[in-house]
Amino acid sequence: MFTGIYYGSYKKGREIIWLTGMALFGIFSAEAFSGYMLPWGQMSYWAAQVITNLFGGIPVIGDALVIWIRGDYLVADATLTRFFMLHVLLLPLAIIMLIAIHFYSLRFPHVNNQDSEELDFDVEAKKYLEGNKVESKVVPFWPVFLSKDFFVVGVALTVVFYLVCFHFDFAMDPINFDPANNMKTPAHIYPEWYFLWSYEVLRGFFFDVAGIAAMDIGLAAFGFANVIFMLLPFLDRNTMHVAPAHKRPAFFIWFWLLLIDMIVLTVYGKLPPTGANAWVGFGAALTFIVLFIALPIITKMEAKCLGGEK
Amino acid sequence: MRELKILAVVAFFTALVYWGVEPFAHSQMHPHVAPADFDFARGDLAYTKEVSQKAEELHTKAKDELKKLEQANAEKSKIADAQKQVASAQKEAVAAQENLVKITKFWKELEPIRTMKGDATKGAETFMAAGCIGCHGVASQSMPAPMDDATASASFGVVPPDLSNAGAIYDKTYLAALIKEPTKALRVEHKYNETKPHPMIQFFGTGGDLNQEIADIVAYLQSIAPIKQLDDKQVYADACQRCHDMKYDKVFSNTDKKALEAYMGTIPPDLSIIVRARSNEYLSTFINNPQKQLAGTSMPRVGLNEKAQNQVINYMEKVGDRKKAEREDLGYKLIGYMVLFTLLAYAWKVKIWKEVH
Repeated sequence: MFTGIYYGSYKKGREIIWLTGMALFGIFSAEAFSGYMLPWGQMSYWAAQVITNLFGGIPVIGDALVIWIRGDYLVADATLTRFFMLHVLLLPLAIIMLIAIHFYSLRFPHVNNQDSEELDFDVEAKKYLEGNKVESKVVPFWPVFLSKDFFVVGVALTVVFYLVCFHFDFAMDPINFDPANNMKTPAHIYPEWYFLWSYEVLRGFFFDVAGIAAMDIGLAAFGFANVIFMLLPFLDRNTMHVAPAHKRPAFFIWFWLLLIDMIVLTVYGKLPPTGANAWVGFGAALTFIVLFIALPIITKMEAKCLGGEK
Repeated sequence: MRELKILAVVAFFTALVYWGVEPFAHSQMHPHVAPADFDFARGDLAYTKEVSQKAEELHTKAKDELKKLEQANAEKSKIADAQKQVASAQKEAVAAQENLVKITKFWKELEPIRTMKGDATKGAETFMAAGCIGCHGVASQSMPAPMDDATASASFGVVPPDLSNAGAIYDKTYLAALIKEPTKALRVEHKYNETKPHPMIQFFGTGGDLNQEIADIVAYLQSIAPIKQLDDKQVYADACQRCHDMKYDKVFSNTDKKALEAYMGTIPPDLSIIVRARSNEYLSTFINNPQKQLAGTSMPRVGLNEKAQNQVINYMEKVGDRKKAEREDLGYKLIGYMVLFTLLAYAWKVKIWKEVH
């Protein structure tokens, strides 16, 4: 995703690829979350308790919605069976469909490249088919593109099998081997690593502001964080100019700030939110939101600058 | 090579995140505790001292906080809260200090036993005279338990242990301490007092020198302990099975569950996959002194010597991760296959891309 952002691959005709990709990201998150619950260990259970509880923050229908999702007043057997169904059937089906749309939408604007060079794909493809394989700037998906992937998958699977067979606990939370117990809250509750950044945005706002409860501010920020990436093509106001970040000075700084901020959010999302940690979390969550508010302004200025040069 | 540069950047940030959410975060969440100490007198003193120091530190901190508030002319309610905090911290610190004095005295009085030579024959007599077999069985000496499991559960909350192997698996000094004052050795003083006494009665002696008599009993227990090495499962059965189930090995506690719950405050957890839920380091410090990892827990310190404790952990590992050998064997095959696959894929990739570049 960050590669896509860095090279500006989300705009100028490629918006649909970005949108379907983000939809895939969202649905994969749901797939991961529903699967994480299935071992029914302590962390599975309490993570499910916390996350389903979030829906209670939605105005008017919140409380009823939580019960509807859980199928019970608290996370229980009914929740487990429906999450199992979601994990093995409904969500995978949705994922397959979305992947098809995602790939199909790539066929129109075609892929971006490291220099964001605009190519006439029909001309290049013709060159390739005529035998000018070296001169042509495109390659066919099969076998040329995939042959690289086979190699990369081979390397990745070697590492995966090593970890699974000899260090299965390399990134596993031991506490999830304690069976779920709704009478015993674990000392620390946190999601898996890929959700930590948005979890930290949620709990970063830990004090009430002007009579609005901390919980509600957090929820609003959390909602913001989860849709804002989807809107990226529309927040980048320099719509006509596709270039890698190192050729866009202001965007370049914005990009690295965002990356560092997300790493800070991820790490502090796991640490206990006490003392100085709470303030670092607050700062990082605020920075995250400010960065996205600033993006249209930065890119608009960039567009003006470029316009002035021309 | 631009691709390699990009790969290096990605690898760097991935490694940074991994370090942050795994080793770093876990070191922050699970503070380090002193390693297991099988010299129970020394370990106990060190731990009690640490608790007392920590309570004192909290007390000082609370006092500083109060001073700051007073200097800043804070609201009255805030100052009152801080005063309450100081009072409770002070109470804790005083209690911890008193406890330290008591524990120091306890081990000091026991000190002579550590060098004393016990007489097993005399110990056997004292053992009978002291009434140990009123509750305990010693099956290897054809002294069966005086009650069946159900009656024993109802009377004591937990079935008292058979003492046939006690001399082999429990530390000598620990046994002496246990006979002299069970709640101190077990570290369950927070649960029992005069109005709610521990089911094992303190040994006050049969008239002679108390320390000598205790040393004799310990010598007797050691003399009847089997010379042959006990197997891991047997050590577990002697030390843990009266309270804990191990259902993956079809081994269940012989105490009645209801009585046990009333006695411990909760049903002690099944230990089938405890080696996965807790690290080896945690288990070794926890079994050595449960309070160290989980202050206030009702699990007693059982006083296993180093060898017996390792045997118990070994057994838990065998049950909790019983497919380890199979998994590792399969691991070599899988990795071998993938390495071969990767090499072939690379050769293929080079061949195809030669035409394109």
